[in-house]
Amino acid sequence: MRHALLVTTAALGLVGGLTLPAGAADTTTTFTLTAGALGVSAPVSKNLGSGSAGAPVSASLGDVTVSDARGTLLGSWTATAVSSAFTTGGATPNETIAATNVTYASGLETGGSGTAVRVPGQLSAAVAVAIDTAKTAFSATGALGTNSTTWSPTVIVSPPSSAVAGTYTGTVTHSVA
Amino acid sequence: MRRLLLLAALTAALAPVGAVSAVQAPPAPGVETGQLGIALLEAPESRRDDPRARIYVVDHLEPGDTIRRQIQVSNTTDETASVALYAASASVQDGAFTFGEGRAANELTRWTTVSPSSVSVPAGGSATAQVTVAVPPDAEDGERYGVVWAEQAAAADAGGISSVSRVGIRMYVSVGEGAEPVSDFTVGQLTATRDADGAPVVQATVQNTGQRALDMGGELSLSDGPGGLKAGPFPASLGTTLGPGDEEPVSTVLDEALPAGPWLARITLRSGEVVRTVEGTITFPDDAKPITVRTLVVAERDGGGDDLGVVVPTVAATLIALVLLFLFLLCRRRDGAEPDETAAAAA
Repeated sequence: MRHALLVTTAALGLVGGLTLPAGAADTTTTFTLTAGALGVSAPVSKNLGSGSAGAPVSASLGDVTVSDARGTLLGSWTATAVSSAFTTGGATPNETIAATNVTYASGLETGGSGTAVRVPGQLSAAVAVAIDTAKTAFSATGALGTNSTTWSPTVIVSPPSSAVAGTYTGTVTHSVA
Repeated sequence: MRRLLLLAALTAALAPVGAVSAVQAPPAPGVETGQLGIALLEAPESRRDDPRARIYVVDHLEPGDTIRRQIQVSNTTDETASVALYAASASVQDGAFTFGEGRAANELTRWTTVSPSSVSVPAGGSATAQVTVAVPPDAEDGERYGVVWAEQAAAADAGGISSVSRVGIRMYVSVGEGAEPVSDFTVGQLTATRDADGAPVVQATVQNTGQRALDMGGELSLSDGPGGLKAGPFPASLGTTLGPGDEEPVSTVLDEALPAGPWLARITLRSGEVVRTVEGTITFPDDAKPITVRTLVVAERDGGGDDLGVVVPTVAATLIALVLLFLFLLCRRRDGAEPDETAAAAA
C-alpha cells in the first residue's frame, strides 16, 4: 500500500507541474507589435454663423477623417459624435441651448481609401439625430489592410424661442475606437 | 552648435515627465497627415496568433493580477498636440461595442491607470504611455469592457463649435480563477433573398455561444455558379461586437447583375482565432421571398491558445486514469486474487 501512495503522489505532482505554467505565464509575457495606428482628424473650431431665436442654424463641421493602419484582417471601427449644451453669458436657462436641440448628420462618405464596408450614421441633414447622447456617426467593418474614410458632417443648432441674443459656444466630440 | 546641444539637453532635463516620453520618432505608418493616432505596442505572448489581441487590450486575468501595455500616441499635424490619456467605460449591447459618455467609469476603468495622464506630442512626432490594469483580489468573475482614450481638445473660438477628437483602444478584460472562459459561436442556416431594390442578399444568423464578447468579421464567396462562375469574396456585414449569448443577423448584399444561380455559397465568419465556415447551394428568388438552404458546417478551427487548455487536462486525466487502473490491479492482486478468480471461473 505504501507503494501505491507513493505512486499517486508522483502522478499528482506531475499533473500539477503540467497545468501550472499554462495559467501563470499568461499575463506577464508580452511581445512587441509593429502595426500602425488608428487615427482621427485633429480637431478644428468652426464658426456657427448667426441666427435668430426659434430658427435653426446649420453649420458644416469640416472634414472628419478616420484612418486605420492597424492592418488587421476584417477589422472594424466605430465613430460617435456627441454635443454639449451651447451657452452664452452666464449660462442661465435663457442663455442655454440644450444638447437635445443640437442635431448631427454625417452625410455620405466624401472620400476614402482601402477596402472596408463603410456605413454612414445619417445619410443626410433630413435625418439628422440629436446628439445629447453619443450617436454613431460612421462605422466601418470588414476592413482589409490600411483604410481611411472621410465625411463632412452637418451640425444643426436650434435655439429655443426663449433663448436670449448672444454668442453661443458648445463642444462637439468625435470618438473613434 | 555645442551651445545649441547643451540648450537642448537642458530643455529635455527641465521638461515635465509627460514631455520626456514624447520623442521625435516618426508616427506609426499609414496615419494620414493632420491626425491624432493611437496604437498598441505590445500584446501577450499567449495571444500571439489572436488578431484581436494585436489591436485591442484582450486578456483573461485572475483576481489580484496586474498587466501592463505600452501604447503610442502620434501627432501628424504641424502643431504640438496636448493630449489627455485616460480609460473610460464601454459596454457590449445590440451587437455593438458602445462607448460610455465622456469619462464615464466602470469597474475596469477604476482598475486601470494610464501613465502619463497627459502628454505633449510634438508636430510629426509620437509619445508612449503605459496602461496598467490591476485587478483587485476580491474582483468578481466576468468580462468588462472599456476604452483607453487619447483626447485632443481644440481651442474654442468665440461664437462657434469647439471640436474635440478622441481615438481609442478597446479593452476586453475577463476576470476569473483558472482557465479562460471559452469564445465560441454558431452560424445558422443560409437564406437567399432579395432586398427592396431587387439586389440578391445572402443571410444567416450568428449566435455567441461562448462566455466572452466576440468581434465579428466575415466574408462570403460564391462558386460553382452558372457556367462555372465564381464571385467574391464579399465582406459580410453584421453587428460588429456580439455579447455572450447574443444573436445577430449577418447579411451580404450582392450586385443586382449577379445571375440567380444555383451557387455554392460559403460564408466564413471569424472572431480572433475562432473561425466557423458554413456552406450551402443557393438560388436567389425572383422576388423578396426568402429561400432557406440546408447548410453544412464545413470547417471549424479554434485558436492555438485554447488548445493547451484542452490538451493539458486531457493528458492529466489520462495519467490519473492510468495510475488508478494500475493501483486497482495491484490491490486486486494482493488482497484477494483467489476469490475473484473463483467468481470469474464460476461465471
